[in-house]
Amino acid sequence: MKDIDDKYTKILGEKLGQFREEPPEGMFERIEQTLLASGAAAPKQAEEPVVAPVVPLWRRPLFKGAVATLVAASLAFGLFVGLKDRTAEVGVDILAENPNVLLTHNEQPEEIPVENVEEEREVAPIVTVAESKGEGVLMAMVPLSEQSEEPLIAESQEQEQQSEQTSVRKSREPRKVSVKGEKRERRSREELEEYWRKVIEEEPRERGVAHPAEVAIYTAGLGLNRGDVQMNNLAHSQLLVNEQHQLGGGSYMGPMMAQQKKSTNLHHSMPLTLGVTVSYSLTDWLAVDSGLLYTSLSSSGESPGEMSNYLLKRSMDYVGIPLALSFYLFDFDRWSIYGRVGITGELCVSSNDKIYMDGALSSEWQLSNQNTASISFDVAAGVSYALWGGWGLFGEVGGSYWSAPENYPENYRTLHPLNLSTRFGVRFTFN
Amino acid sequence: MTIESIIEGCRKGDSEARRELYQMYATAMFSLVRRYVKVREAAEDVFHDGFVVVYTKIDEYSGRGSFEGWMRKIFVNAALNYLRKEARMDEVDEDVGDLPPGAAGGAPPDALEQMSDKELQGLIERLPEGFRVILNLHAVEGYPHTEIAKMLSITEATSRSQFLRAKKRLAELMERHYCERANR
Repeated sequence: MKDIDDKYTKILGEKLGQFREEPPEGMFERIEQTLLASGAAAPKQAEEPVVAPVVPLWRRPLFKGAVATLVAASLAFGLFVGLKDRTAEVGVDILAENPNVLLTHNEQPEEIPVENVEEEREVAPIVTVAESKGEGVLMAMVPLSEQSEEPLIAESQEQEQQSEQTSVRKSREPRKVSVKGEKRERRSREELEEYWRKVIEEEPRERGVAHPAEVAIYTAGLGLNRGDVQMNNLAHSQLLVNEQHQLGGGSYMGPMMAQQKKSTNLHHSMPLTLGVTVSYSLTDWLAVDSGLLYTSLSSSGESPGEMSNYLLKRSMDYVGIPLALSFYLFDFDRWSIYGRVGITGELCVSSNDKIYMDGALSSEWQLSNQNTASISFDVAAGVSYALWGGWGLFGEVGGSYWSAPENYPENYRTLHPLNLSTRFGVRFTFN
Repeated sequence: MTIESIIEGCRKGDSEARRELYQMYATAMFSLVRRYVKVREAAEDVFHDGFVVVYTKIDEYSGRGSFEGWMRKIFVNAALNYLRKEARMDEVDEDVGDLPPGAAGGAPPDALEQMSDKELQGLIERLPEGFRVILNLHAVEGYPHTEIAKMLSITEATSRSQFLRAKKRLAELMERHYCERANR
């Protein structure tokens, strides 16, 4: 029976192969016009002798490396200077708030003001004279300009000689007051440390109100690729057969039971997201975020056949709007640690499958059932670092759970709805 | 001119080489396309697109396998793309109906061998698009069912069953054709 069938097929093939029909007249000219219009018909120029091109300086690797090193060194220097400048700014701000404090650069003050004096002047050395016997002692503070160089002593020579406990302490050097005419007095180291602890903890943040409005630009999804996913031969995939049916496969390609005769490695790439978000502070520690995201998913699989090699490529593009709450947990200097919880609504805006046979595009079609909105739930923890001028960097690690609609085209998310991801970006803070 | 010199000329953009190539293969390729695409005007468009692809991608021919085989793949793909785009492969398999009562005649055992290629082509055109594609891919082009399954994104079992159904439908059409001819 099989021999009869084979013979029948062979005769059928020969008969059909013998069928001939002439193409219409003028078809070659029509093809030539199409080629001319596309620029593919022009005769190619004869190959000229290869001459080593002169590589301009700006394209040479050594030059590029030197420029990159220079840029990196400039950034590092800028960061260093920025750090030092910021410390000085902090000092100036604190000085503005606390006029009694005099700072030196990166040093703690040696003295703490005690009282104000109205005007700046040099004060005469303080002379104390112990009480002596007899008639008493004069104590006076006299401006230097009126003062002789000789120390004040008791007028009575007799009193001096008679006094057994007279002592004179004098300071030859005039003691200068501060810029604002303050008289200062030394305190102990413990008191200084206590003072500065209060300054650091109680002073408002250098960048103004905590966590004001911010704009962030970031990319997510890098570095956590979970590798190839082994699955059935794409042609046997129940999902794909269903998709073809919905595209109009009809009775010819109706849904069939998937047969797992041969498996094909189908590689689902980690989703890649680019986003812009805006954050607005509700309180010192709580902010609400929203923005716009673009996510790209791609998959590919290769299957060698008896006569040709087949390559399938699937790509899906999403646009989404996130809504999240950010909790600022800890701030120190330029660093902040925060947590984020939210949801993201996404819609697939573009999706298609392409099959390449022997490297040439064989067929292409749009996927079905992808125009359904999907929601994901996101949780993340992050660290941000403020640079200068309101700019900062941030990095996050988090997880998301993607809720897929029914009969969705297969991709990385349908296979891994619970997914870890990283997010890195720049942030600008509005004061 | 040898085929190699023609191919080389086409690669260099020589219009005469392209004309030579067209004259060598035009009839065979148009006939191939007509086996897949029933409507002649649509077949002409597919044929035109196929040759444009041949001329623009001739650099990709590596020399492995016959050049005609490489061209046939391109034209088969072009035809399948057209059918897929037009969603023609979902045509319902219509019942050819029973023979009228008292009809005489019927297909002889060697009906297929006796039939001319034009007559057979006429019967093939009456098959649903999907059956016609499977018959041509397997019986004429020689693709195994595993390859056909990849090309059409179906299972191998579907390809085999559809081929058997196509042959059965063709046999029914042949039976009816001989009956009609005998009863004229």
